[in-house]
Amino acid sequence: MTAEEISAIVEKNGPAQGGLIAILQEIQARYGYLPEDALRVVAQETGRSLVDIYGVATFYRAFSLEPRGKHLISVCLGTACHVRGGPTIAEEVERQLGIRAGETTADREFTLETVNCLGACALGPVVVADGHYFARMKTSMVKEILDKVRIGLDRVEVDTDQRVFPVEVSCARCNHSLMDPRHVIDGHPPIRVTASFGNKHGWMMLSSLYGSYEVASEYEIPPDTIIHIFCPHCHAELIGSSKCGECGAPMVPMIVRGGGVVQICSRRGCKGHLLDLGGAASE
Amino acid sequence: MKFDSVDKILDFAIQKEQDAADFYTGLAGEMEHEHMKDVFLGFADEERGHKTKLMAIKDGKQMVSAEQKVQDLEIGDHLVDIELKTELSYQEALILAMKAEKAAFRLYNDLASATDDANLKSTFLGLAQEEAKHKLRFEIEYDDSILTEN
Amino acid sequence: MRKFASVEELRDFRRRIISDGKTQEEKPTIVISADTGAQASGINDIIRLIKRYILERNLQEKVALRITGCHGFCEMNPYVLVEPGGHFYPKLKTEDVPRMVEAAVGGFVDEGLIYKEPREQKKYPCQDDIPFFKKQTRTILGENQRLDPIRILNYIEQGGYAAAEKVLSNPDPEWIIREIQKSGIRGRGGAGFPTGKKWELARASGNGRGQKYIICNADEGDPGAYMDRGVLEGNPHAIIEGMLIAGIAIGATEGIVYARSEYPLAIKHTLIALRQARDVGLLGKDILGTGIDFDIDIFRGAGAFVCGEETALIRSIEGFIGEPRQRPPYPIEKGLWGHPTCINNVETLANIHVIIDRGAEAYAKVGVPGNTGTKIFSLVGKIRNTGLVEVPLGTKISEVVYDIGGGSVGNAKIKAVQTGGPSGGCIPANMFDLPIEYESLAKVGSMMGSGGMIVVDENTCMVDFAKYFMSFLKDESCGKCFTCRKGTQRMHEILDDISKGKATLEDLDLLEELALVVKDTTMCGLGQTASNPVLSTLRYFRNEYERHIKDKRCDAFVCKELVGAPCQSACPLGTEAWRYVAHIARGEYDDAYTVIRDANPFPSVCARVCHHPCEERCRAGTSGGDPIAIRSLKRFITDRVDPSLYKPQRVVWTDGKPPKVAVVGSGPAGLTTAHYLSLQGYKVTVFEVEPEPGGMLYCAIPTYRLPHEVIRNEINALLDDNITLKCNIALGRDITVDGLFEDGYKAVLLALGAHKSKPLSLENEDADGVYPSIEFLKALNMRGEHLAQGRVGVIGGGNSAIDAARMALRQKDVNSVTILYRRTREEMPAFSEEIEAADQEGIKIETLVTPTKVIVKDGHLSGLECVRNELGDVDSSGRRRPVPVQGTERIIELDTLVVAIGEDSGIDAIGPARLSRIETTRWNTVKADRTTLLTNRPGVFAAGDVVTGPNTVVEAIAAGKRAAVMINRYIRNEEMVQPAEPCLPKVYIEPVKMDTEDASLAGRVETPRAPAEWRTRNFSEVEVSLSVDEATHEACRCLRCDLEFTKPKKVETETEAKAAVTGGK
Repeated sequence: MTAEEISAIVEKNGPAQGGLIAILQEIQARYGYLPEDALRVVAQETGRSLVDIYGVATFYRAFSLEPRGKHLISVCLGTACHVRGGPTIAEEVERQLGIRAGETTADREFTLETVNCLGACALGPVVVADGHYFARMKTSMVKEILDKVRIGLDRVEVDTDQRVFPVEVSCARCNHSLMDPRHVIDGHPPIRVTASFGNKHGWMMLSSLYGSYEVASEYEIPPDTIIHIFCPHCHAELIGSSKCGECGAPMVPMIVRGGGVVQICSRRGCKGHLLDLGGAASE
Repeated sequence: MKFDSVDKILDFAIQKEQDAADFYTGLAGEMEHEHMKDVFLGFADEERGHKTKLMAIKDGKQMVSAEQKVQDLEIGDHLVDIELKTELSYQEALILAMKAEKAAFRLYNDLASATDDANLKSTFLGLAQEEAKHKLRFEIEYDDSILTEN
Repeated sequence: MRKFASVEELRDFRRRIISDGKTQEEKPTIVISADTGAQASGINDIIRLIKRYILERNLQEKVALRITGCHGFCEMNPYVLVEPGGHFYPKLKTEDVPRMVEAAVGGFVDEGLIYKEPREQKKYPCQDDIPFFKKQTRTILGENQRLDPIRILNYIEQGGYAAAEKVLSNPDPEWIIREIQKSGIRGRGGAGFPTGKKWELARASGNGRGQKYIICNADEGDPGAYMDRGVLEGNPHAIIEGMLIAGIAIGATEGIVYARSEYPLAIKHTLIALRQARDVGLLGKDILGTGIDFDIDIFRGAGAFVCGEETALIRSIEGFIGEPRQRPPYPIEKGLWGHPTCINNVETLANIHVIIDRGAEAYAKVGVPGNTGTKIFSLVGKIRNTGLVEVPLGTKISEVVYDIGGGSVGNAKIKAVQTGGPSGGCIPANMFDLPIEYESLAKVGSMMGSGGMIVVDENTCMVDFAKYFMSFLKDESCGKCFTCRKGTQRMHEILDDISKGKATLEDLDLLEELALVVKDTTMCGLGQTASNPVLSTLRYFRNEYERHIKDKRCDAFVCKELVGAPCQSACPLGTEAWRYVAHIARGEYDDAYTVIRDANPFPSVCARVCHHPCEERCRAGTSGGDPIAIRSLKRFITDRVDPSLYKPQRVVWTDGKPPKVAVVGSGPAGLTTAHYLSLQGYKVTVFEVEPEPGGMLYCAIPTYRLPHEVIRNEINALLDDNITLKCNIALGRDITVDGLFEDGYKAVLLALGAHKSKPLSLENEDADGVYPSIEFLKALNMRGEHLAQGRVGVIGGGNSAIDAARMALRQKDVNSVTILYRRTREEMPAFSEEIEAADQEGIKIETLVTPTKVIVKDGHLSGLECVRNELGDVDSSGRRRPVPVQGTERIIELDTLVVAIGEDSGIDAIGPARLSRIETTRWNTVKADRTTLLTNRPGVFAAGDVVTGPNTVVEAIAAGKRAAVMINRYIRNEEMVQPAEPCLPKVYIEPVKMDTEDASLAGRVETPRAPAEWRTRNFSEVEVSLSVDEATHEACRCLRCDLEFTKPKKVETETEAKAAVTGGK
């Protein structure tokens, strides 16, 4: 954490008074908690007293003044979850992790919190682990989920997972196939395009497996860079009008063989994507 | 009795409820078991309650409505008629009551189909539904406390 | 999509896409709900696999996909809907995907996957016919189903922004406000302030000029409510359109959506929608060339319930602590940054485009006067069909709970609904006829609130429920008002004491007083309503509070400090099941026997026929797995340990000659009393009308469940020098109560049982071949008579019906046995294991049939006329009663008919009681005090079935134990009370060290039974004992709920030490 980073966050969310909660939210999202030094910078930049900021930071449940664990487990204790046995689930998680709600394990792996309602009331009891929801929880499921969280819930075995499958694409302008049979990524021919950012202009190969984010490129692309992608055959830019649902960057459309459009986010590191099949309209 | 006005019909119905109340009160007096006396006195109270409701209808304070169809569990329909004696069981008392309410229900339905006057017809049908409601109460009690299946 | 420069362009665009859509050939569409709930249930995997299947099979031209928000039927997640045809496929698994897609492509219904009503097993090929959907009016939720929330095109195609178009083509704020007023819509956020009125005030505020704000309150803080999430995730453009119209109406140019941070998907979809609306020119400067400016920002809440309160919400946007302030001035006059601010709820705003588009009059036709339109409820908790439900206001609660919600889950009865979140209250089940209107709910002590409707059943403790809300409120109170801050805390403390059995009845009064003070002395909505959870539960469920305080019992088995180990507190005898199970795990069988026998003088009997409430409450079962087979473990011990090993403690009567006590009836209740009185030194005479003792155990329980030898051994072990048994003696005939007192008995216990079957009261019931069930069972059990022959019918659905049927099947001249039951199989009161066993043995069970006539030929039964039933409407008790279907009469040919519709004590028992001036009831039972078991006559006690009506063996034993205590106190002239104490585990038994993984994965041991073919040929016992391995394994599965109470403290601190870092606040 640097003072510059914090200043940038303050700047971005508007140093005017109203931005304070958004500023703290962004700091919390980036560092997992609100470091004291960061709050001092915020106070300085916004012109509000530190005690004022401390008051806000401690009033709202979403903020933490202590570092959190690598993984966040939230057990819902909303009314519906409560009557369906939420407290027993919370106890089981406490037992498994050896901590109480609001605490972090000594190895900083897990933070456990209880929340008042996650709005998935019909499916209670509900647990959210690192953004993944688990419905109709039973105590017997707790251990298995914690084990999975340790490995990483986003991790996908591209070789064996049936949710991962190859997609063949072509250029929306010239209809030339974009598949590159001479190379292999994830065991399949990748998609080959031309990528341009800054003053760099070179090839880029993307895994053709839907669900894999493997990429190789001629130049190293810094994270968060928005890149322009061109068809290597007709040299037209692959660009549509839609924006990424995750980050708002432009989406890059490609035609799916057999019908449909796949769009990927043009921001390096963003996993935003859309796969429209069967003529679903794309704007 | 000739039914040429809604008021006359209601008078008739009110009298019928009073008769029923008198009947149960009389029966209560003949029961050997104290708890069965209470049962029939309770029935008599119910009938007097019905009477009060009909009187309110007559005074225009309340409406009869034939719109809502009352569920008929038909529990009493096939059961044997109860012979009056001094030692009746609760089961027998309920059968007696279910049958009496069903008879009243039929009577009003018959009277309804016998008249062409729309106003009178709807009054009769409304009364029939009232009786059906009374019967349902007894049926539910029979269902819950006699058909216990234990 | 490009920016629309004018209203006409938008209109033309819509026309074009609609006609394009029509000309496109009708392709089947798989509609997939992918809201947060669906994602929690794995819809993302299903979507992936559907796409994969379509790609691999090249089905792009044959089927379309639409990813939508929540359709409402969340219980069925993950589900899809196939259009046209409306095929609803619930709870899809990944392996179902190919079948479902093929059915969609092929235009047929997959019978295996299609929705079925669980109770009737009826298939519903079309969604509209499913009871859950049929009774709803899905104005808002219906839109969710029709569009993909991240595609503005979809929204426009479905008629979206048509209302905005209407308003923008001739902007007339007065007209908009008039329309909204005419529609009668009231704020959906809870208080129900008329929206039109609010807008009028907002318009007039600030002299109609200057900066104004419109805020969408999406800080859906009520736990248990998620309507707003459903709408924001599924149809964000409707909110944008509503805000745009509101903005034009009140003259605001800026809007803010205040959304909970706990709703990431709703925020994401709103952000996407805002971006799209800006891109096409529906937000921003000079909207559609009209010169109107309006834009919307999103503000993410940071987690504070009080921010749902409008003044607190504004403070929060301004970057301060979300404390409410005194009103007036209302935000309408002085709101965000001091400017007039109009705050509307998500659902209110979602209705705006409907009102403008369809007209206020059409809108006002839905619902009832004063409460127009539809309202979405989140129907959750202990109910079969959970989900979002949209009904016209004025709909009865019963329609929502039973018709749409499908009633209770399992067998537990629904107790109440809680509406209005922490500010609301409970409405008990007997008031479900109430129409859902703002005023009617307030009148009964609850409120509409934002629309949470949490159903609670018998397994929900109302004290715990109130405590839950109070715990929530004390955490969420902002602390500004002292009475709220301290009052909620104090109320929580009192509730906590009650839940722990530490409170007194005076505390209850204090609680009530405190609740009223907090209500009257706080500033904002949170504080003013904070007492509602307490006041409404006190109003309707005071008996539960008193039960906690006086009896130290939590009947819902929720309050831990009163429940202890659930197996123990579920047992009417308080048997420490956990303790003997622990001993079995350690191989200490003699200790296990002692634990069992200490509580129960009939261990071998109960090991066979107990209905094991311990297993129903076993936490291994209630937490999602299989309960421990406690009864089988008890059987294992009683089969293995010599009962003579157990030497009960005896008291020798020193005070002169021991008093005499008479016990009438030698069933489990009578003999238990005799046994315990004998241990106290009394001289007891037991009178039995039958030639052998045992009561129901001996007369009516079939020998294949309970061999006579087991009963005899158990009874012989109880009989001693203090007990005289006199058989063939009938009360009323051979002895009288007066006579017994004259003979010097100091007390008399009536334990006559319930030995009389109730008649059907059908004609010809007295024909040959028709038998009351008890008579039928007695003939066989006591005299070895085989009364059944040929085709046997048994009427009834309880245990005595199953007993009679299974006993009939074992008789030599019987060809077939059929059970005829009026209701559904799920409602049969018989133990499920008995029903299963009957099934295995080949007994036919016909449900939903009512007998109407006994057919007789030559004085002998020849058949039974029956009529088929269907389930009627739900009545106020929540039950759907059987209603005969006209014209379904048929005759079942029978040679034997057993009537088992219910038993009571009959005139044989009630007559003599009455002659002895003992009060009886209409249900043919003897009236006795619940605690003292005394009848109206001094010295005469009553216990067992003769008091309760037919009941279980273990209840009879429990009553017998209580009778012994009370008779002892009576004779010794002591106070007739048994002080209540929570039934908690007290002894620490070290758990067996083992690999926990093994234990949690392995399921319940199956109780060994003799093969069905073998069983039907004889009357021998069916259940067999567990092996040592089986028993050990089963005992090790126990979760040891007792340890929480008995574990030595030093073990506790070890785990404490593991938690090194504390986080949060």
